[in-house]
Amino acid sequence: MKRNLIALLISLSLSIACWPQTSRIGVAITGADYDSNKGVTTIHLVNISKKEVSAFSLTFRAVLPDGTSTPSSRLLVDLLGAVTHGEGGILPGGSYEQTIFGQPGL
Amino acid sequence: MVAFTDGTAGVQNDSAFRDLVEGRRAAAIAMQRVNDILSGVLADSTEQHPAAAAIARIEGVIKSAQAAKVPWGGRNSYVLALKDALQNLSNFQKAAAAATSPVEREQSLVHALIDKNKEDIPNAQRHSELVKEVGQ
Repeated sequence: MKRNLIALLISLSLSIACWPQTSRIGVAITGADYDSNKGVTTIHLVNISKKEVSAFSLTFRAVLPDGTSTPSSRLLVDLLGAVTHGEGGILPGGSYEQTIFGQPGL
Repeated sequence: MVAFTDGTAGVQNDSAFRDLVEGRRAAAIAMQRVNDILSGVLADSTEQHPAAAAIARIEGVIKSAQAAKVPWGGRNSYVLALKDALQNLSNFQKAAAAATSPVEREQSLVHALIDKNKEDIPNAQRHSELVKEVGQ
């Protein structure tokens, strides 16, 4: 229950997710899971563009059970190393999981 | 902000875009700095422990970067790239210790790191030259 509550309370936004007229590019968040044992939130993303993604930024804040919220935090994920060494970035239609550690209240 | 492998980027968050570009540029500079150090160490024919010598010099570069009073764009990426090199060199020392010809093995591994950086530097530079997509 706590897991679901926290997952629902997490407010996540990806800069490009709400762009107007941006059906040709973008990464969307499809969900988030909170692991109370590890204290880790896993954010599920999918590349909804037609190009391979090499990096993205993620802005998020956590709304705590008491109704207060943490300041907005930004995470910059650069996949260039994977792209350069053959593992690749996020292919069109491909998914990616990003974990966030140690968020207050999580 | 989303960057693509074709060199374009969709940008709503200029700060994130700037950090990405500066970070990639800084990583390229760091790898070149590492290569300069490694090449210098290998050029010293009397050096029996090139990895250790390089580690000492790279640690000095990291300290200098971290000591700068005014943070500069890409510093974190610069330091991270240097620390990656430290990790590699540390691994080389362990691998070389188990080899029958430790010095030659260590030199060979250092050469391989130089070659890897030579491949990665232009990639990092190229991918730092991102073009914002029009209308984003």
